Amino acid sequence: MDILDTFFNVPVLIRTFPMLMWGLWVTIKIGVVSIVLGLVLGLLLALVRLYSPGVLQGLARVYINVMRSIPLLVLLILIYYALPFLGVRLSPFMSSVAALSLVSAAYTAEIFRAGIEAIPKGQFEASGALGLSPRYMMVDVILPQAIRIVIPPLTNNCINVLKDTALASVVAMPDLLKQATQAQAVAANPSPLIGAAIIYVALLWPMVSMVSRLERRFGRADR
Amino acid sequence: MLRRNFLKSSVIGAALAMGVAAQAQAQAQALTVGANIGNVPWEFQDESGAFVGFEIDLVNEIATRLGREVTIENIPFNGLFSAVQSGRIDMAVSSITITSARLEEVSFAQPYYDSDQSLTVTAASGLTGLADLSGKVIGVDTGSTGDMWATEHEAEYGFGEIRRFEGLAPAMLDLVNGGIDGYISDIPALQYYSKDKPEIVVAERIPTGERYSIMFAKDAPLAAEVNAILTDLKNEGFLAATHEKWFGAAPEDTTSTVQVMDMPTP
Repeated sequence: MDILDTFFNVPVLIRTFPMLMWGLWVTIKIGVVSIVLGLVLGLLLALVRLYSPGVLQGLARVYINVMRSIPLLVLLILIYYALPFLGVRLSPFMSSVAALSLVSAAYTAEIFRAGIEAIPKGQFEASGALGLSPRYMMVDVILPQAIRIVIPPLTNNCINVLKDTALASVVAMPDLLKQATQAQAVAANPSPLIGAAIIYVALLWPMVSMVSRLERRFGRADR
Repeated sequence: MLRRNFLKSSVIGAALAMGVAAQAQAQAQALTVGANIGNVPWEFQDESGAFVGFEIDLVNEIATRLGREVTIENIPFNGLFSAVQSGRIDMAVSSITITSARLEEVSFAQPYYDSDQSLTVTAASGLTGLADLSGKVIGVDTGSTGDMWATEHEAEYGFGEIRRFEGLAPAMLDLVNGGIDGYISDIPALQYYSKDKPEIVVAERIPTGERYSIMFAKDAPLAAEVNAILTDLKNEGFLAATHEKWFGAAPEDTTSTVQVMDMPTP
């Protein structure tokens, strides 16, 4: 058995391909729902963190710091295995989405905050001088500019969320990596892991190269 | 000149040292054994942190007869297959069932334990067997023979959902939590686990006629050597005694723990 037979065994790859595709679908479902929830929660959190009264601002800061410090795996295990003792019983899918979006929201909030703070002070003052209410100032002036700045780091965060979906296997969620390890044990051959790696790269490559393209374009526009 | 001589002698010295080291390594090279620690009563840690269990006793005895030291590496069940194939470990134990699909990719010595699957439920659930499981959520270990059995019989028993866990401990936690209604896995592990836990019961034996053995890389010469040692260990009653030590009863004479068997072939 040489390395090709062991790690790039084509018959095994073909046999286990449907299992991997099923896992890919689960990974995409968890990833997309978590990313969308994380974005919405993160934006709200950033606004609370920047503009709300003192107590709320402090709470937002604590939340962001805790969620950025806690290992995702620990959070996932707490949500799935510990919450039932308090009467909260989430399915594997809901537990995975909850953990991923809670953490993603914290990172997203910091990205949005940095984006908003990068807008020159003159823009805020000009909006005020024009008599725009805080809501219109945010929606029409500040956020459109801030979003352009935060798209590359946000995309990076999305890539991380998609990769972190692999942790969902500890709560019995059949994501891509889980399906690959299962296929590996059934076939007693690790080729499905290589198959999963190829699928991850194929899925994430477009996002990674989009980040580089956007960074180049925005870099030019600023000059 | 002096410098060159110095260089020359140091090169020769280094080469000699390496040669000696390589020789010493070949003589005392430890037998590296992969095991999914936590798989009671086959391989697990006691209170002092030492690895103990039926298969730990077995590999220690095999290593003694091979004249080699043992290094146990804790590797999750699913990782054992690629670990033997890549040569990271010399052999793997973890109540591994011999299957025809696995024999295509790896080699096994002769079996030493006859096993079946089992259904485990909580005493409070009132479930008495597989017939009660229609629409219920069952748990299995990813890629285990229990996983394969449950997948094959999913439609027959009308399981609501199969959840795949990374070992006994998280699955038992979810069973007690009510996340799953039943857990399908190897019967000896569950009988051992539920022995001192009245809230968990093994509700039904699921006959599958599985046999455990030690796994090696495909056609590894070590497999035949260990197979011969297993023959001796059966004839000398070592395996029967180990069975009695861990399961509290002598094995039946018809089982592979007592009977000398052929090495399985694909």
